[in-house]
Amino acid sequence: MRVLFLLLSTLIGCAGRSSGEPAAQPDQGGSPGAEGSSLDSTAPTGKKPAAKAAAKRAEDPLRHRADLPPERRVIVVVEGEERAVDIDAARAAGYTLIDFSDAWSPYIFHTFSDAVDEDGAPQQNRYQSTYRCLADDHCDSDGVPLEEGEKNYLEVFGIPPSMSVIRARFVEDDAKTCYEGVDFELIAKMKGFEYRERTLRKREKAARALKKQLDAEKKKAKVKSFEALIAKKPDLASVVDEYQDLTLQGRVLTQVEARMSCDGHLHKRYHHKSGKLDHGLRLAVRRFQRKHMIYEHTNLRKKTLRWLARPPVDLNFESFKRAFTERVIAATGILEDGTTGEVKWKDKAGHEHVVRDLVTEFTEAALASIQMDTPQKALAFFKRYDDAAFEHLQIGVKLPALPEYYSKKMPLFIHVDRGDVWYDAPWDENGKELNQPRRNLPKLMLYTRYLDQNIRLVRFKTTIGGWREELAPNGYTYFKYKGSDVGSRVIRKIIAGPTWVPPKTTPLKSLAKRRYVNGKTQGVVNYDELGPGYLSAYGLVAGYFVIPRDDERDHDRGIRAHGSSDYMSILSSRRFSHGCHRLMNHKAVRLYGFILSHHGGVSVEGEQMINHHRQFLYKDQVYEIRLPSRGFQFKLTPPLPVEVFEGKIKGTAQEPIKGFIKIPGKAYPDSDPHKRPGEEDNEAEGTPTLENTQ
Amino acid sequence: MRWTLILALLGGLYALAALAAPSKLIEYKKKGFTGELVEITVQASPNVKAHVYHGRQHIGLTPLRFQWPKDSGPLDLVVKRNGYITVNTRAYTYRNERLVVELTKEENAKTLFGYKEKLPPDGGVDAAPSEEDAPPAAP
Repeated sequence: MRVLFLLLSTLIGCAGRSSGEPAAQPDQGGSPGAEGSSLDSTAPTGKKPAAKAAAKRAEDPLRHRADLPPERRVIVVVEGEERAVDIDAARAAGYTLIDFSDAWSPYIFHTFSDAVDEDGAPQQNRYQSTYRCLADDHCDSDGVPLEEGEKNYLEVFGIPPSMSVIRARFVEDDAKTCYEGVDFELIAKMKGFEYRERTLRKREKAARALKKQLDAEKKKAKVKSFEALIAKKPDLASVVDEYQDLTLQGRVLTQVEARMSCDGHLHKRYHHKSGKLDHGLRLAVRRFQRKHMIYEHTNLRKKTLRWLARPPVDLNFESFKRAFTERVIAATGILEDGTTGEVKWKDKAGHEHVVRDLVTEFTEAALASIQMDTPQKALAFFKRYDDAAFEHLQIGVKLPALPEYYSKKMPLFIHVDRGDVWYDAPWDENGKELNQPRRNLPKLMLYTRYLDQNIRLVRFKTTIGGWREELAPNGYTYFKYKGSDVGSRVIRKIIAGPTWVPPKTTPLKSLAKRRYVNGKTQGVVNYDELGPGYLSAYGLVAGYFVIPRDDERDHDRGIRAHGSSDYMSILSSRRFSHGCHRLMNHKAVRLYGFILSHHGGVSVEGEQMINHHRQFLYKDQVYEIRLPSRGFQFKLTPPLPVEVFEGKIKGTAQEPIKGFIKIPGKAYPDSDPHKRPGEEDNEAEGTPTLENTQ
Repeated sequence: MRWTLILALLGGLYALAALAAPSKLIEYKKKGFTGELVEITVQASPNVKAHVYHGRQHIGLTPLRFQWPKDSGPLDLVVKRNGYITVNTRAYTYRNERLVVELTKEENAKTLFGYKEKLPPDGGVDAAPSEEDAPPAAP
């Protein structure tokens, strides 16, 4: 009997799921589910209706097929039942395919067949593999493998985690028991932490005094808890409340520490001391913020606390939704994300519509279509599929129709509003910083022209130039006004994975750094800033603003609209670029992906080799910059029109101040900043020009 | 005296260990690495013998040719020679590379971009504009 059981088990085991199949299928409920059951049901039973139903199921193009090779398999939900169906059948049935695999990358990094290398093979953007490797927590920004247990939290920099990474988060957090001891409700009571030492000391002192008073009262009343004390002496309720308020921050901090420790953010190397608002805690908070795409300073502020107060399954679901959103956008070629405000347009029939928030609408429809619209459903999905499934996994979803103005060739153009602009120097005669408030911040807007209407699709926050440090030929750093050009421009080139060739006016301290390399700290060029990469000055993608000329030898004044890892500079009213219009990396990826999908005149020019090479001296060592390529280039024909509006000039100066200005408090040699040391007359070479600004 | 000797001995041992550090490539081969390799050539200009390091690993003396696993991330190299300013450079591993590293004599530092004129003993002039056309530093 036992032998027979073992034999049966072995047979079942051999016929078990192959790699990439659901770990456990949802209850089939006797419906036409797996191919096996379908075959079984076709066996002669003597019952005609059953045979008919089976034959019908066999004809159903959307029947579940466990026999499909992974690359042909699409997961769809039909009448509440999850099925693996053939890719062509899913397409024919009107499903939009969303790439759920770890091989996914945004549209800008796709391989395009019309760009071929010397051997005739399609040219690949070399950054695509780095992007995937980063999203999958396999390597660092240089492509070097990550150490065991290390994670990349790069969503704030425009790289969402892969589905395998999200799966691991869901499954691992679900298995952890340490969250049971975390009081999420108590964390939710705190709206923001107080960091000022003086206030904290005052509070501590007041709390100590109250504690002494309340302890004495408890002793007198012969009770042990505050509740019992209030029950006996109700007039002390307000004193207890005051004491609780004063000690709330400390109690919440204990819970925050417990939560972040369970999350794995309180790394040993941070040397955080329990109960202290120290640098170690700041680093842990930064990790938490980056993991959950929270744009806040690295303090325990409102949004960060609100997210800390949510259970991990909820936050993992949010991470999944964000990563999924980018895939929906890439699969459907949409962009409208509700940032336009209420913009109206009329269709061919004369009916008025408001520009929809397609990103939210499509994402929610897709999630509902695949039955992953709650944290628990998503958790169940990720438990059903193992890591191997994400090598090829695709899902099919039913989506709403696109607006009428959509086509493969949409007339597109960009407007940049510089918002409030100050040309005055930002400090007074004593070197004290002046307040130059900007209420109206710069915005970049993409429009389409349809039936004589300009329809604004998105309005993204961006930056303009301002006072920045610049290296003069004499080797010293001065302030210089680095403005953003005003007027008509075009974008003829878009570069995905761009490198930034630093102009000679870039302060050298930003171009060199010390780094631990193969067991020793050594000097290296700061390639993070140069790219290609998410931290590069041009972010993940850049569009080059130029003044067009007939022969296409455009006049480039160094202004670009590009992605940026310096997201706080985009959100802040006190921060500026060197003249470029910075965008959040993920927004830049979406924007240029949309332009490339809908412009209608894109040619893929591929990798632009430049072999840039130069040396500079910094702190008694020579640093050699070596940049082989400018990035992967697309050309738009005709170029995309851009109009940059002046904005509102505030203050006294109505024009930018020209030339170098000494930075208050810094020491300078008594020589002409335009001349290199030892050179008498070097104006032509030494005068800095506005080129390649960031 | 005894401590000085011990320290000197330790220093010597460390230097020997650094020079004898097994190359990453050899380690790869030991682990049965069979992947594709790229060839990296490093030459100094002027043509002198300079030491090439990758972190604590001494790769060799220029002119130098070695193989490295393809697509294993960029290789940050340090090129050193007495009397010359140390150069920090980089080789890429997605293709064969030929680096010609320009070495500058210490006394010629002035010719390099980024060389700073030393400040006078009084620590430099006050923060006032030196350009005629520039507006006052503190308007």
